[in-house]
Amino acid sequence: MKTRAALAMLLLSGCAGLEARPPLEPLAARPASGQPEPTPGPIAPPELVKADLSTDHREGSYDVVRAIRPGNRYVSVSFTFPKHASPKVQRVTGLLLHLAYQRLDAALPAGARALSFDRGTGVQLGFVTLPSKVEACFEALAELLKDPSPAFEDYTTKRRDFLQDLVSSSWSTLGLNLVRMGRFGAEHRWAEGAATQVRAIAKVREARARERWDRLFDLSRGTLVMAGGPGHLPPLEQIRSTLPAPGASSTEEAPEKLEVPPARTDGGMRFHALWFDDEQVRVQAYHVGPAPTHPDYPAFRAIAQLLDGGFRGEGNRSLRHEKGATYGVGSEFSVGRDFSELLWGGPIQPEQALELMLVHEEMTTRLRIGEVSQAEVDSALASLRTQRATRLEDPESLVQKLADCASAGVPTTYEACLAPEADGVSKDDVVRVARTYLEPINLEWLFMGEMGTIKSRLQFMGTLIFYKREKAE
Amino acid sequence: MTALAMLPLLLGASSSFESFTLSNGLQVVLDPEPHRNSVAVVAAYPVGRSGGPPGRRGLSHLVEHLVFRRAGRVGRFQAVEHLQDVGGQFNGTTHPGYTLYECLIPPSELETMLFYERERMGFSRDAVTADDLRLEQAIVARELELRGGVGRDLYRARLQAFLPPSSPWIPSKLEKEEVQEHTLEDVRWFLERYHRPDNAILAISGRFDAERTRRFIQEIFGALVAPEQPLPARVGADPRLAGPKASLEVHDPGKEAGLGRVWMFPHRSGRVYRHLARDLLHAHLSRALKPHTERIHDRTTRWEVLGSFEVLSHEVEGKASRSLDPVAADYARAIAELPESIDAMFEGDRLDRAKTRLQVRYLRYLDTPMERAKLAATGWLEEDTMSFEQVLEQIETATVTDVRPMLEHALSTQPLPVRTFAERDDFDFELKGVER
Repeated sequence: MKTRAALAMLLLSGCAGLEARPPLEPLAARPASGQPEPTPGPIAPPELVKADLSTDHREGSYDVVRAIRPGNRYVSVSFTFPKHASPKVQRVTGLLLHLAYQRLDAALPAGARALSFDRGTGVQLGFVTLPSKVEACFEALAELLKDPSPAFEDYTTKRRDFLQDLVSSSWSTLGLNLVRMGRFGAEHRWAEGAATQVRAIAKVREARARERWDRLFDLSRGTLVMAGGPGHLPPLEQIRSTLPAPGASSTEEAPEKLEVPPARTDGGMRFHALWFDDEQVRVQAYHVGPAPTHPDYPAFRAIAQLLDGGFRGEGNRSLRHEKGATYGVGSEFSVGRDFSELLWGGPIQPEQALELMLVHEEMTTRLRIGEVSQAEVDSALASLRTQRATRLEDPESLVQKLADCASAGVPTTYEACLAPEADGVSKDDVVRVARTYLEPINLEWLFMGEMGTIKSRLQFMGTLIFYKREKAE
Repeated sequence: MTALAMLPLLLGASSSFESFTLSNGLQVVLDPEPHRNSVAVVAAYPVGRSGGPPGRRGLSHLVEHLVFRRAGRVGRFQAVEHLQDVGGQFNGTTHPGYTLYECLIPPSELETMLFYERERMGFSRDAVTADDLRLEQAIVARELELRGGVGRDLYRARLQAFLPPSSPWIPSKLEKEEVQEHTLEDVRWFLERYHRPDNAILAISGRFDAERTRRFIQEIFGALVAPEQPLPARVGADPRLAGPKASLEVHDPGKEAGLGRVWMFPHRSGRVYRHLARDLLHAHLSRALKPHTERIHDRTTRWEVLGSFEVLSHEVEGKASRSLDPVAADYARAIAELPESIDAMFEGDRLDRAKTRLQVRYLRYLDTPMERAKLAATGWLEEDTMSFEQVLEQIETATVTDVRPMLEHALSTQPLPVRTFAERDDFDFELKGVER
């Protein structure tokens, strides 16, 4: 404690109390401009500048999606592979992507940087670069996918480094792991946390890792996505000759289907809590929704947008704008291959935590009993569509979105990227889907932070599960 | 011709921002990009959390919240709700030396947005109410609670290590309490003195008709009258900056151990060369620490512009369950030897590699209107008016002669003895639930 005390003394030095507040000079009268007030003039909505998308699909090979957008100045390329059905492959996916990224980044020429992402729908491996460097960079990516041997050099050291990194950074995913564990049960593979991954990776020797690399980075499962300006991307023939298709794969296992929403039988309310010293408590409602390919998905996405509400949202109106009890309330929506996840809530003063839960109850009840208008649905989705159009400008964003679409199994079109759910979702769809997915029995609550004020109230309302950290070994 | 030398050809004509100043002093930077689906508007004021009237620190952050709640005479939250309805993205950010109001919108909303920005700039003083103040004081307190903690304490400790105790650049430990002290009169005084056309920069990037927008800006912003009072002086560099700097070993007690060191680079004297210098320094320290890879989780450099200098902070984060003690000695030695290591930093192709890394970083911003507008606004504030294209060109032509003086300046003074504040816990990560 000695060193902590020293740090505290250092931090407190020179700031023992509030600064003196000398008086300010008096305000001057505001000068009037004397000119009439102009008003904004109307500007006609301009036509959307879309990326020119071409998709080349061949049986027994990988798909190629090329997005060419006028004016874009750099190039982004990503090979995307859907989440593998096998839990054994899934558990080592992070390690394999780490090996791939390290090798690719070392092999790329000057003027390029490797990128890798482990997303809910799949993994992405690629690069951003100058237009003049695309061919050389793509050759480096193709070499790695044809022969991954260089990625496995000094495998044991790389695996050890990766494991230590995984342990060091796993805390950030705590919240999601925690609610997933509550939702699916700790034994379910969707809920596996860092500890299970660490144990699995620690046991995987090089030969087994190579075998799983071949299954994860199986070209016939993948989609190559490229985006850049006119004249930046190599022609299809060149792509196919640099990275020939390996032929049809028969190793893919049937994906495990998740029942959505998973049935709960206990009937009571459940609260998952992690208690630590803080001034606020982060309260989040967790809903599981359908996968992007499911017919209910568009309406569920609309529900996520309606619940969020941004500055207009009921949570922000009643608790932020009117009471100053929170810095902000909103929703987080993420998509997996077999389901989607909606988190709603935010950090709040502990005294107002139950009020936040009531706002959620009120909002979801309104949706379930049909107290929502078609105009509200249309407005929320139009806003979502415009948001996407204004953000899908640069090659990296385009590639990311298209790769997500490819991995999720939805069409890789510009329209699909924008917001297909914006078209044709009716108020009745929203109400029907809300009754399925927003029923209280399918809800889990997560609390992280100061629990002293609300612990006893939650215990009175349902089952309160406290989590504690335990060593992995 | 090298790949880097081809850059201007690949990027098209080397463009620069179009700028003009209205008769009331408002500076405007236009960056028309006709192929975009959006337009970004950034209004910048050169007063941040380190500035403002004496004894009223934190006022700029509170004011940022207040004028976001009510843009001049526009109704409460009306502007942000409208922007949200049309799919816009918006934010206000208070930095040490400046405050930004940022917005990304569909092109059809540009004039409405400019109208809101004009209201915010010219008519907020008399629009703020006591209720607004009370509620935003509470919201800022909630924000500061979220942003407090060890990371912010360590940042403050680093600045205290080499700035005089009274320096306004050191964040206050009592920021949350100070915010509650501000009165409506303080807020109005601040808006009177700082939210004025001759103390602002307006930058627009994306899809818009430059001629029409220029006329519209002249019409609506030109009607604002700058107050007669002179502009308050900006917070400048500290006289003690040329003196010795301290090394600190720092630590995040909740998670992982870390080591850190701060340097200062002169600012307003070459953004590109400064960036390259800090990249070379980072790479050099990474090489020095390579024997300890198994103990190091991450190496990071962070930097922040504080007036006419830039603080660079280098941090080493330890891996879980690994002691950093063996690293500390080598780290301290590498730091002590830095002034004699400058030649080594430029050996072989090291400068070219640093140029590549910087080039890719800027490349990723090239096609993003918001980043372009922010670069324009902050560049003008910092008297560095290069466009992205010009930045990329300067990276291409940078030589050892350009970059070396930056490093020499930063590394020339003797560091103070290392002080240790490290104390670590074992890091646990598996979760198990217990029903209560």
